[in-house]
Amino acid sequence: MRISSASVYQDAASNFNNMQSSIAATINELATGIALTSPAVDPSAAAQVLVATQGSNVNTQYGVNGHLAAGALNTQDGILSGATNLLQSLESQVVQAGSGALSAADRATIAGQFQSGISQLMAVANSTDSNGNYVFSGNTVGTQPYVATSSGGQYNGNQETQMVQVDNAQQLAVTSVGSSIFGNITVSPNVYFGTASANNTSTATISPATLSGVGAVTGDSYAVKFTSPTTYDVTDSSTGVTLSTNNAYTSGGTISIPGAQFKIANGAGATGPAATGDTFNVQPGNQNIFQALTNIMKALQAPVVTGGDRTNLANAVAQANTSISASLGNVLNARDQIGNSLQQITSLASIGTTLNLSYQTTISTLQDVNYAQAVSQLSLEQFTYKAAQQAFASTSQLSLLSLIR
Amino acid sequence: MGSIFEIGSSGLAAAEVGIATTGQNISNASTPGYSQEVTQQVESQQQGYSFGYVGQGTNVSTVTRNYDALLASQINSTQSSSSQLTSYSNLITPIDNMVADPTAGVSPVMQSFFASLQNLSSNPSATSSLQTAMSRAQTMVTQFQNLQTQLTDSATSVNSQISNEVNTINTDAQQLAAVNKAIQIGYASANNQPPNSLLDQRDQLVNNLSQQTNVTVVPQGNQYNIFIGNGQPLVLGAVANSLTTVPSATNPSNLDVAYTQNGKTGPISESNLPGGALGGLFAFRTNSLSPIQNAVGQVAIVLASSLNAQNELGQTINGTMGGPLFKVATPLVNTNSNNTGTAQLSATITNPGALTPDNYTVSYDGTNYTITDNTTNVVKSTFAAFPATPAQGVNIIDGVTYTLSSGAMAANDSFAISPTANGVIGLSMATTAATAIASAAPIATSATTTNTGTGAITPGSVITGFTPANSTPATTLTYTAATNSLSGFPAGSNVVVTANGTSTTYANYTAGTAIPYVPGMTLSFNYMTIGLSGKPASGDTFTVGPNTNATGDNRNILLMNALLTQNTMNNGTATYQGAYAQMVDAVGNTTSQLTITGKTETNLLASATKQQQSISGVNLDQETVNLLQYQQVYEACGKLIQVASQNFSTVLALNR
Repeated sequence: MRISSASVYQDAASNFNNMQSSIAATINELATGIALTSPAVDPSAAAQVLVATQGSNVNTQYGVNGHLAAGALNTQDGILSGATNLLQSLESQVVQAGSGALSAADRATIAGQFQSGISQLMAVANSTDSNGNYVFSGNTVGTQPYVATSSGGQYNGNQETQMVQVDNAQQLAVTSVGSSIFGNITVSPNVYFGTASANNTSTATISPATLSGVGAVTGDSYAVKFTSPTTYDVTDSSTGVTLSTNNAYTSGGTISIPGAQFKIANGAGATGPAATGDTFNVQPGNQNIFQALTNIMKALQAPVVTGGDRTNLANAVAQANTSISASLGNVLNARDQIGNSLQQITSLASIGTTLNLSYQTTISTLQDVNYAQAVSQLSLEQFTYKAAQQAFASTSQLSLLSLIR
Repeated sequence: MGSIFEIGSSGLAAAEVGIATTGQNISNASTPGYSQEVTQQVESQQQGYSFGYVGQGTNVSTVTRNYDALLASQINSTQSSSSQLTSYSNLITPIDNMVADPTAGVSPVMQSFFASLQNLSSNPSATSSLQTAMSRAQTMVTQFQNLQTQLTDSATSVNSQISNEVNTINTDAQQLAAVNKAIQIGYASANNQPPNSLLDQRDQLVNNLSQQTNVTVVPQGNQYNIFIGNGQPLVLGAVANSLTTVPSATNPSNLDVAYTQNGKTGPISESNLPGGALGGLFAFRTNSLSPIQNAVGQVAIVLASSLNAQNELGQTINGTMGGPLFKVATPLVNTNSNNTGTAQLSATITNPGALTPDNYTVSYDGTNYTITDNTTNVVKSTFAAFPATPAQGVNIIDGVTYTLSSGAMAANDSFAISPTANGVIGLSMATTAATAIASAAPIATSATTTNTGTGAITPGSVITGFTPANSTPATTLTYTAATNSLSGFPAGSNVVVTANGTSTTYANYTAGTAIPYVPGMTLSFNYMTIGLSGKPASGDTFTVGPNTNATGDNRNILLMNALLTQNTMNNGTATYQGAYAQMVDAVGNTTSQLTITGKTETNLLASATKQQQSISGVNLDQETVNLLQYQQVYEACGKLIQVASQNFSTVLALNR
C-alpha cells in the first residue's frame, strides 16, 4: 500500500502521545497506590467502594460508641460496688439490731449508723459522671435523682434510659434508672398494706388497701390512730402531716388515704372492737431503700417499754432484713446487667475489628494498585516507547533525497 | 525537421508542467486536505505519411487530483461520530473525577455528618456536640453546593459551546457557498479544467462541518449542496442559510439550535442533530448532565426531608418540639413557551421516598391530561380532569402532587417537570442554631414507682402529626386485675391495640372503658405508641406524658442516625449512599463506554484517513522519483532540440 509521507509523521506523533499518556497513568497509579483513579476505570467497583467505605465508617463509629459506653458502664459499676458494700454492712447492722439484749443507747447508736447509711447511700444514688451528669436519673441527667424526705427519699428522675448504638441492630443502655436500683422493693402484692400495732388492745383488723382513684398514690406511709372507740385520726407518717381528725368510726367502714382506701373491722369477742390508742400503720407495697432504712431507723428510735413495743421492733427488723436484701438483689441485678453489657461490648469490639478488616480488604481489593503488575506494566510501556522512538528515528532517515547528491 | 523541434519543445513544456506539479505536491506534502495532483499527459496526434504515422510530440491534457469521493464521505461520517464522542467525553471526565473523589465527593461529608450525630448520641447534653453536628450539617450542604456548582458550570459551558459550534457551522457554510461559487467560475474560466485547490478547500470545509455536526452532501454538477438536521438545506450552491440558538421551549435555561430561512426561525430538535461536537454536547446534556443533576438532587431532597421529618418528631434541649433543619427544594416546573392556555401548574413533593430522578411532562390534548415519565417513556396517568382531592396514581405520581394552581390548559399545552433537578440548588440550612437539633423524644413513659407487679412499659415513640398537646396532660393507665384490663386513655382518642399480631381499634374512647390487657401488647393513641409487658398487680399505673428535663435523652438522635442505613430512597430500596453510588456507577459506566468507543472511533478514523491518504496523500520518495524522471525527460528533450539543430546545421553546411 502506498503511504503518504505526512501520515508517517502524524502516526508517529499520535502513537507517542498515547504511549506517554499511558505511562503517565501507570506512574500516577504507582505514586498514589490507587488503581481506581476514577469511576470510569471500573464503575461497579467505584460504587462498591463508596458503599463499603460507608460500612467501614459506620462500623468504626460503632466501635467508638462501644468504647464510650464501656467507660460509662465501668463508672456505674464502680459506683454500684460502693452501694453493694454499704448495703452489706447495713444488713449486718440489722442483724445486730435484732438482738433483744440491746439497751436504748445501743439502739440509738445503731439508729445513728442507719442515719449515716441513708446519707451515704443517697450520695451514691446521686453520683455524677465526669460531665457532671447524674448517672442514676434515667435520661433527665440534669435532675438530681433522689431527694431526702422525712420518710426517706423520693425519686425525681425519669424511667427512660440513654441508649447507645453499638451495632447495626443493637443498642445498649448506658444510663440506669435509679428507681429500679434503689427502689423497687416489693413488700406486699398490694399498693398499700396495713399492719395493726402490737400494742393494740383490741383484735380489730385492717384490710389490704384497694385503689380508689382518689388522688394519686404518694408512696408515703400512713397511720390511723383511734382517739376513742368511735373516732380516729389519719396521719401521713412520712411527712408528719395530720390528714383528718375525729373521724367517726364504723366497723367495716371505708377509710381513705390518697389514691387508696381500706377497711378496719372489729374482731370477735370482748376485745374485738377497736379501742382508744389502737394504731394501724399503712405502708406502700413497693418502697425504696431510703424508706426502708428510715422505717427501721424510726423503729429503733422508738421507746421499747411494753411487750408490744418489742414485737413492733422485731417486726420492723424482720421487714428491714427482707427489704435490704431485696435492695441488695436489685443492685446486684443492675451490676449483672452492666457486666453483660460490658461483655457484649467486648465481643462486639472483636467482631467489629474482624468486620473492619474485611471492609478494608474489600476496599483494597477494589481500588488498590497491584504493585507487581503495575511495575511490570510500566517497564513494558517504557520498553515499547523506547522501541517506537528508535524505530521512528531510523525510518525517518530513509529518504531518497538523502541518497541523491 | 520542424516536427523534431516541435516534438522536443512539446516534451520540454510537458516536463516543465510535470516538474511544477511535482513541486506543488512536495511543497503541500503536509497541507491538511491537500490531494496529490497528477499531470495527465497524452500523445499528440500523429501525422500520417505513405510510410506510416510519425509522432508530433506530447500534450498535457489536464492536471487531476487523486481523490476518492467514497473514502472522503467515509472519513466525514467517522469524523462526525469521533468528534461527538470527544466532546461528550471532555465534558463528563471532570464530573467522573469528582463524584467519587474522597475529598470532593458528597459521600465523605455525609458520613462525617452522621458520625457527628453518633457522637452527639453518646453525649446529648453537651453543647459542643450539638455545635459540631450543626457545623457538619453546614459542611454537608456546602459540599452538595460545590458539586452543584460544577454541574451548573457544565451546563453554562454546554450553552456557550453550542453557540460557538453554531457560529463555526455558519462560518464554514458561508465559506463553502463562496467556494462553490469560485469553483463554478474556475471551471468556466479554465476551459472546464478542475480548479484542484478549490476542490480540496471545499472538501476540507465539508470535513470541518462534519466535526461540528452530521452533514449530508449532495453533489449537483460541480456544486455541493449541504443538508443538516432532518433535511434543512445549509448550503445550496452559492447560497448559505444560517443557524442560530434559541432557548429551549421546555427548559429556557438550555439553548437549542434553530434554523433560519426566509426570515423565519424554527428550532431543530436535538435528536435530529446527531454527530459532531454539537451532537456530543446534546448527548452529554440529555444523557448525563440532567440525570446526574437529578440524581444528586434526589439524594439531597430525600436526605434533607427525612432528617427534617425525624427532627420534627423530636424535642430540643430547650424542651420545644424540633423544627426543620434544612430548606428542601421544590420541583422545577417549566411552562412550555408555545403554550396558549393560561394554566399555571404546581408540583409539590408529597412523598420524598417515592421520588425518582426522572423528568416528567404534563400535557393536555383537549380531552385528557397525560403525565409521562420522559426518562422511561412511560405514561404514568391519563385523566379527564384534575381531581378535587389529589389522588394517588392520578395526579400524585412518584411522590409528586400535580395541581393546576390557576387558569386552564389549552389543547397541546404542556409543562416539563423535573422534580429533583433543583434538589441541590434549593438545599440550604433552615437554621444554624445548634439547639435546633432535637435529640430527645417528646414523650416519656414510666411505671409508677409504687407499682407492686412486674408490669413494664416501653420508652414510647411518636409518629408524624404528634404535637405536645397530645401528651399533655399525662395519660395514666391503670390496670385492674379483676377484669384483667386497662383504663384511663384520653377521652375521645382512638386507641389501636395490637396484641399477638392482631389489631383492634377502640374508636372515640370514653372514660372507664376497659381494654383487655395482653402481655406484650402495643397501644397507639394520639400519635403515640407504647408497649406493655409483664404481669402488673391490680392498681398498678403507667404514665405516658411529656418528656421534661430530659437533657440526657438521645432517642431521637438514635432514630436520625438510623436513617443513614435505612432504605429511605426509591420506594424503600436504597440508602442515600446506595442511590448516590448508583449515580456514580452510571457516570463511571458512561465515561468508560465513551473512552472505549472513543478509542474505537479514533482507530476507525485513523484507518479511514490512512486509506484516503494512500490515494490522496503525497509520498515524498515517489515525488523525488517523479522529479528525477521529469528532469531527465527535460534534459533528453533539450538534447533532441540540440540534435535537430545540429541536423539543421549539417544541411546548411552542404551548400558551402
